[in-house]
Amino acid sequence: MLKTKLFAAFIVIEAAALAALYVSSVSTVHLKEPEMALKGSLVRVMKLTDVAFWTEARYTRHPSQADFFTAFQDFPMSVDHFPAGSIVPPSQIHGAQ
Amino acid sequence: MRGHGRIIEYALSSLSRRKLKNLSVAAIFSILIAVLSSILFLMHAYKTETLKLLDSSPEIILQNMSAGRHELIPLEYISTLSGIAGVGKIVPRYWGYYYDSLTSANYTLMAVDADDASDKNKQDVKLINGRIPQTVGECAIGSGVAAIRQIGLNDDFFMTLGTEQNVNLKIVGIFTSNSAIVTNDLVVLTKNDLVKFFNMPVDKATDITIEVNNPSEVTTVARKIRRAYPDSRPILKIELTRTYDNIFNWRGGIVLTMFFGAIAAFMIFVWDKATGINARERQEIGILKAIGWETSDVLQLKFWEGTIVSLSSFLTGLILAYAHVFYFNAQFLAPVLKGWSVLFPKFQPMPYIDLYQIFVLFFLTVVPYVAASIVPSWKAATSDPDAVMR
Amino acid sequence: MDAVIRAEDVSKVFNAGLADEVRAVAGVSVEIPRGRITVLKGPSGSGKTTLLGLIGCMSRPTEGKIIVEGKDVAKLPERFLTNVRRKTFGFIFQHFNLIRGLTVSENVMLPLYPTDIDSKQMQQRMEEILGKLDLTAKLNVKIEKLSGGQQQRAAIARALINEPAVVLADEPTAHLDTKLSGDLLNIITALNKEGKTIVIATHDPLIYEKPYIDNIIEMRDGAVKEAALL
Ligand SMILES: Nc1ncnc2c1ncn2[C@@H]1O[C@H](COP(=O)(O)OP(=O)(O)OP(=O)(O)O)[C@@H](O)[C@H]1O
Ligand SMILES: [Mg+2]
Repeated sequence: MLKTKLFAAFIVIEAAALAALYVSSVSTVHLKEPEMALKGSLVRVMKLTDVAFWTEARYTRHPSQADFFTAFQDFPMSVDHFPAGSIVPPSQIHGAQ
Repeated sequence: MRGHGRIIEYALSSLSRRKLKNLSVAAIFSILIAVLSSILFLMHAYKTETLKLLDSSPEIILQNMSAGRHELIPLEYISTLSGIAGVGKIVPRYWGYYYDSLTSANYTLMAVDADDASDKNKQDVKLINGRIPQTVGECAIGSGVAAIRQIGLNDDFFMTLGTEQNVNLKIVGIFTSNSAIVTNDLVVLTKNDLVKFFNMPVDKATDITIEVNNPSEVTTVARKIRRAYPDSRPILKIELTRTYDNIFNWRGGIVLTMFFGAIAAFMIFVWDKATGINARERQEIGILKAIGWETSDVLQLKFWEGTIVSLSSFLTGLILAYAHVFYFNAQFLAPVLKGWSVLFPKFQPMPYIDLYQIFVLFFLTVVPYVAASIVPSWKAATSDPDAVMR
Repeated sequence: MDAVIRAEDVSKVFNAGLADEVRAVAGVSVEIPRGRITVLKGPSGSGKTTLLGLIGCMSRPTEGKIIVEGKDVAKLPERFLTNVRRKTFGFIFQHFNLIRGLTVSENVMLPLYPTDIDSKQMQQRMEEILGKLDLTAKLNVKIEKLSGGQQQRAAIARALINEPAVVLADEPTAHLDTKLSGDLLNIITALNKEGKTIVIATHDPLIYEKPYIDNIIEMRDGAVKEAALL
């Protein structure tokens, strides 16, 4: 029964590690709530609208402000040369209204 | 230990006979799980944090349109806007982009209006080393800008758009790197400096933010604004969050597509397992039946063989993915995420975990694998064992 | 006569209704007397293995009855048939059918894995049987590392681990030389002396010409040509 014991131990250790990681994630999120609140107030007072992930084009830096709705402007599905362009979808929101 | 336990023990013995094969299967399985769950973890963490933060964005942002293009907005709109019922505070924003040829990076320039009382609260921003600029000639920059320009507090920061349009600013604040998700490429300067630098007409702003007293009236207010200014474009907060919802789902989808090859290979492998067992396996099942194992015992054995491989791989993959994303900042995914972004923020993603995603992943990987281990043995396990006699 | 197993008018048809239909066993009635050695003999293709499989509940007859300890098992569902096989029979297969990659002891204990027997007891039984068969030294050796004769004995040990009343052997001397065949016969007669009923399917005269073989059933073309209870 040695193999079963080893295997069970392996699974238990892995499951425990995962549980520990999950607990740590929850507690980290909890611990960082004040920091998130500060970031939120930063967004509020600076009147920010977008995350600063992609800085190569207007519609990647400010997807929410880009001219999705005007004719021909920065339409994200147009042929373009920014890799991030391929991953920003055309907005369905404005069309739907 | 009796019956059931010994079948598990035998499944382990049986697997260890083909150590190399089964270990490589487990390794491939683990890596696949690690890759898939890295993508899911990262996308979920980014998305959750983004949506939480953008919940503090302005209710409505009003852009001006001219001939089908985004245009600067006349400040005179403000008086008309404040006449609309339900409208709260109205604040114009001054901002734009600057391409820094020195570092080949784009910065986002934003103004604070130190003279305007309604803009005073910007001075209270906490996540900054130093402070927000108060007078002409000062600026605060994001940690990404500071890093790429290799400058720090009290250094000079020079930007130029030609002989007339240039500013030389003193850095009085640097946003902390834990706020990089929203501040990484920012250059915050006073309104006077920004207007002068961009050569903007004094009676216009980039756009206007509008607070709405009762959030449920936002769409009504937006409709009224459009009636007053048919060529303007109100952008609602809800649209903004939906945009980001879309982007992260889309992005996750694209990255998943990139790993389609790996997934396809795995599916082919599972398919291959599911559609047939080799003569040797069939023979072994026959022997087990012949020496007195019941059909259910054989199927139990196959269940355990599949479970042992897939469960341990699944757990290993999850651990690897968690470590990769939340301790090593998703290093292996970064090149894919970055695209050509020069100023991609470096920050530890907040560990938001969606257990539902993990369950889905479990049901899409472990369950088919276990099924693929059992199903093909079914026929061999239910037929009479006399075939092994000849 | 006290018969452990009775076959009444059994037939086994393979590929029924197809062009290559084979009547491997056709209307055979035999009795296997308790506590004796029975030999099924006959030329190749005469249906010995098929009949042995029917007697040992490895497969069900197309027609007829197989009565084991007074109970007709021919129509029993698969699960119950397995149960009868597990409790009553020990098989020694022509090709040993040992599982490569496992040790001798694992191979021998394999039939008891899914049962309720206590592991200690199982271990004891295995050691005892392997001791008798002179394989104690090979307990933890991989089965494929053994010589042909040793593998045969491991296969016998496996057939005995469930303490069967009936031991069935199909061509047990087919892969053995004269000396090893002699050893095997000694083992089998010893088992018989312990009270086990033995059925051997063979066409090896070395076996069926032995004076102490009680009961010879001669088969030809799926039917019993001659049954002589000596
Ligand atoms: N699964 C099967 N499908 C079709 N035909 C079969 C099958 N099993 C056995 N047969 C046929 O049944 C007949 C009897 O076969 P069996 O194996 O019982 O003979 P045998 O007397 O044991 O021969 P040998 O001495 O060569 O082992 C043969 O003609 C064989 O081809
Ligand atoms: Mg035969």
